[in-house]
Amino acid sequence: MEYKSLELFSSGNLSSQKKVLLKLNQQTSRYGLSLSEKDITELVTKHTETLKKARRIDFAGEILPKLIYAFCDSPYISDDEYLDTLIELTELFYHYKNECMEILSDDELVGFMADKFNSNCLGNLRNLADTLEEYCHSIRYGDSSGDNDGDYLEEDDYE
Amino acid sequence: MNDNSLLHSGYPEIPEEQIRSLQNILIRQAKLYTMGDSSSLPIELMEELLLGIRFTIDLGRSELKSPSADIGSIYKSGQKIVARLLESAKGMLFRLSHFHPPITNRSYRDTFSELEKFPRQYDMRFFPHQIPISIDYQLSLPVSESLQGISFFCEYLRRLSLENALCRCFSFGKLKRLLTAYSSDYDDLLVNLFDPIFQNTLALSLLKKEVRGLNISGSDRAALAALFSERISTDRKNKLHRAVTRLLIELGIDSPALESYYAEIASEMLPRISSSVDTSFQGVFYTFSD
Repeated sequence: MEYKSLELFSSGNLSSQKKVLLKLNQQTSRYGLSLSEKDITELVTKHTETLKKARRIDFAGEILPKLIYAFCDSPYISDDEYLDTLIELTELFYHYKNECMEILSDDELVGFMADKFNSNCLGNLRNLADTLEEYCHSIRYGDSSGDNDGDYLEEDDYE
Repeated sequence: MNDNSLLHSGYPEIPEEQIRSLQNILIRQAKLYTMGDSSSLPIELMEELLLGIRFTIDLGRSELKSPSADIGSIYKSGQKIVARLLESAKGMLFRLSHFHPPITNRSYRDTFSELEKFPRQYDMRFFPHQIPISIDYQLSLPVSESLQGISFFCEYLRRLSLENALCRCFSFGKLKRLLTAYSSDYDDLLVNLFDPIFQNTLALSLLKKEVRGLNISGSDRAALAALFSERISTDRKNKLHRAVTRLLIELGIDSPALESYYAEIASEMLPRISSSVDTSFQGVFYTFSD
């Protein structure tokens, strides 16, 4: 079935999404971060493109607010790179949501991303991607109980 | 966005004004499926959820005849029908499990094990259109693939019951001799057990001989060849249908469903019977030593 056909059923009310994201500026501005209307339009557009690339359908429209909440207090994000960071975090989120084969909930994945970004990864998105790669690998092929700090089961552990 | 393309593929179109209701049902199903843990799903899963909803709506339409019924009501009605069909299937399975034919083969036994798993594995809530088991045993008249999910399953069980009814009219010994004449590997092959039994009993009925004998002799073949000498196929078809009626009377079976099913099989068999006249019905009727 074509993606376009099922898009009909996604949580597609663009203007209400934008209103929600604009309102979030009230919270994020405390940390020196805010998105202009133009930024929000671009973020929402990129979100749609990312969903299409990841071949997923968003039926609840919750991820952008969740990412914004989780990362707005990060010491590693400045206002001038806020939008680009959010776009990349959105891409990472959906890519690894697929990679972990729906085992992790949205909250678990966003929480893991924020935790690692602000600690081990020192605000570096490439490091975050590598950490997510290891984590999802361990979920698919080894320990699926949660955070293993990048360690996955050695062969001996299966005996 | 108005795109009805996803509503095609054999399903009646849902009116534009009901698209929003369908959207709400799908979103609700997705939320239930993910138990609120995810706000998105892979497209393939959403497609399957949507197919499940459409299947349910289609069943619901068959009961709610009112043209003004909204999609939500039709869907709820469909869900009740799915539940009812599942209960009916459980009943059929129970009866089938107590009325196997005297002789079976590996394909039948393996398939029956699978059939018994169906009620546990069937997901009537999210994927009612799916058949979560493997069905290898082929019926004499296969169920149309246009049927899905529980509808397919119920129809399969119904036809299996109808076929087993004939097989149960004969002893293990006679059936074994016939099936061995049909194929010495009948136990290992993916063959339908009913077919050779029905073919022979139908032939005996055509000849107005006792069908419980089950065996077709050389002279029987000659007599059958004479019977099929008519050129007009409707005459041949009528002969077969009368033979089905006679067969059931002789076996003491009074069932319109059986008569209808066997008559349909007989009609399907006619081309094969007609084309094998010159080869003395090799591969159609079977001879074994009594």
